[in-house]
Amino acid sequence: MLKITDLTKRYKDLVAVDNVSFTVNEGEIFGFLGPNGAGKTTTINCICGLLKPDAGTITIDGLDVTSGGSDVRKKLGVVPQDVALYEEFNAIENLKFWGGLYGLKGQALTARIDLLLELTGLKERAKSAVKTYSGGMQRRLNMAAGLIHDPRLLLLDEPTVGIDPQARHQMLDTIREIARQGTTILYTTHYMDEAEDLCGRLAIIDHGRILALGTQNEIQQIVGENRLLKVTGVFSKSVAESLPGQMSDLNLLSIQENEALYSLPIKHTTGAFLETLIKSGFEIDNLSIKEPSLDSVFIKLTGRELRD
Amino acid sequence: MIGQLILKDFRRRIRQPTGYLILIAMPLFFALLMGLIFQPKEQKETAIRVNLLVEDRDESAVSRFILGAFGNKEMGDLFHVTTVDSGAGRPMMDAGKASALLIIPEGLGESLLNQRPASLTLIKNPSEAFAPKIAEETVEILAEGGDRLITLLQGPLQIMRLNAASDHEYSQVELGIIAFQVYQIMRKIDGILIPPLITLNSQTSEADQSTDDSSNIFAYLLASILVMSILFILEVISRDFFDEQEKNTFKRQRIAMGMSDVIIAKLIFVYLSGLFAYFLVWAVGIPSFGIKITLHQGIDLAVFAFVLIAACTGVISFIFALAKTRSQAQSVAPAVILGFSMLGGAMVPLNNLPQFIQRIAVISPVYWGIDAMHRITLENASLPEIGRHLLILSALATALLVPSLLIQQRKFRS
Repeated sequence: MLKITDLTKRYKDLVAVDNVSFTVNEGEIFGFLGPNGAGKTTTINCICGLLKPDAGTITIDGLDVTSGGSDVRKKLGVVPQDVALYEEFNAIENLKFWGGLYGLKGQALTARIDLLLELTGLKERAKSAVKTYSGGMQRRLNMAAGLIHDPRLLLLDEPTVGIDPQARHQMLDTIREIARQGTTILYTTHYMDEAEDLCGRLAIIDHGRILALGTQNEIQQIVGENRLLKVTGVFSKSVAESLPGQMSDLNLLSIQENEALYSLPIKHTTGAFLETLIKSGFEIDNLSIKEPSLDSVFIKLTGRELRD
Repeated sequence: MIGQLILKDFRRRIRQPTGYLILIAMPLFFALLMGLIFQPKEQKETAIRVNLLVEDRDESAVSRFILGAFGNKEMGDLFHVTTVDSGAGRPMMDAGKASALLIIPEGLGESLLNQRPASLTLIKNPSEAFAPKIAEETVEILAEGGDRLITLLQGPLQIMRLNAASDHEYSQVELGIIAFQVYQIMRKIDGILIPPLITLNSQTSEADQSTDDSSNIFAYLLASILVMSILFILEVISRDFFDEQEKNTFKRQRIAMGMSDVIIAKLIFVYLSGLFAYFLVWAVGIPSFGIKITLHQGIDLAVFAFVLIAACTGVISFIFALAKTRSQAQSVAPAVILGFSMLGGAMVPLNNLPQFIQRIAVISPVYWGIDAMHRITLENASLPEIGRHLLILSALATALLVPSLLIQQRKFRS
């Protein structure tokens, strides 16, 4: 459905997207993960034609996005990170307007609006001005506007940012329902739990480069059956580096001032690790333990948390 | 699809019309305000009216001649003459009911006929400044004129005087001779002295002739203020470029339609908003201010609007295209508008500005807009007669709108 090959986008000296390649298959929810500023939105903007890539190609259903014109645009729905609606209009007026831009009209448009209002649970408030909606309702209508022309590929750019847990839960349910109805979804987020919950395959991006790509299981193999142990406190660099020699299977992943990151197979207890630390003279302020997960993959790959 | 975008913008404006309507009301309000301040009042209200009482104690042909002189058309506009009975004038003067009292003494006619000195008495109202003075000057002129007339008619008068002394009956031939002599003399002085003995020539300078009608002053002011107001209206409407960008709705439109369509639609909306404001202001202003224009002038004004608003849209959209931020646009645009307006004669009539400013005024589109509208409304100029204005404004519109579109595209693409 979506094929990105060697995509590069620069802003003067900054390489925002660096040689990125991945494919999103028909009918799947593909997670596109990375912290803020990793290059996710730039990639999305290139896919939907807002930015012209400096290098590489992007095709949707075999059509090049840079030259495909309205044929490509009709296949593509975008739900931007920020709500993009007219607050003075109500839900129906907004959806009519956005549908009209894709050439929808008459009965077909009315039927589609009914369907989406039902899907997003906004039917009862359909005639209220959008400015009277809660943040969650606005997000759902924002998504409905991206789906108004029944696109085959939907780009969701961090759709749950800034909404409360209940609204977020509703939003994820709606996304699952959209996918169940056959729409292919590229889902960008920096919430690992959302990606674990929704996505079959995913790519992790940081500093414009793809760090990992595959199914959840494939990506978790990067950390294997290892816990991640982050120690914060007072210690010398040489002591931190000597620790793996004192405990079998312990690996030092990264070291910064007052902070060291280790990986340790789950067969070893955390208590044994703590004992080794104390014996080596660590003055420990904090010890955080991360069980094997996408989050721990990201920490292993980048040395920092996804939300940093 | 462009139509959908334009329609959406109009619907948004209709939902929140207050700001837009206030902007449109501004030129009407200022034209009304300035018109009321500068409107020339009716001639009869502004001119000094001299209330003159006349006591005709003589009731001779000469005294009737004097009264008749005050009654001619030109003098009639200035003097309101009331003939009063002998002795009745003074109490009225004391009561402040007249500017002056002219007393024509008994025997005035006979004295003049016999070339004996005679005098008129003028009593002035001390509580009035100018009117009694005017009465005094006028009576002096009349007396002087009368004196000269008697000198000129000395020959015929001499015959009449001698015959009067001897109770002579005039034959038809004698009357014809006297009448011929009088005619010959009067023909020589015709146009100098009588008739009328005194005429009041009222002249208005050419520059002011255009504003002597209250209808014209409103047309003049409305046209002057309108161009500046249109520029301000377009500036406010153009803020939509930033509004929609900040709301991300622009982004979503560009995904659906492509960049140039979105920008073209917005420029068309800005243009149509200006056009709507232009027509609304004239449509309200013409009947409200009693501006008199013919159907032909109305059509010319309408045709001119399409070019003028295009040029104004060009100016504003160019500023917005160059501005990187909303605050840049909103601070530069009003400065440019005020500069152009000042230079173009929107605030102060151009002929009141220094010579060098008048010379460089042509660089302001406001100048061409105002001048063309003044020519249409006040001088009844046809479209070919404002061809230069149309050409310059069209060229300006093209020169600014095309780069605006390209710059906006480039700006959003980056």
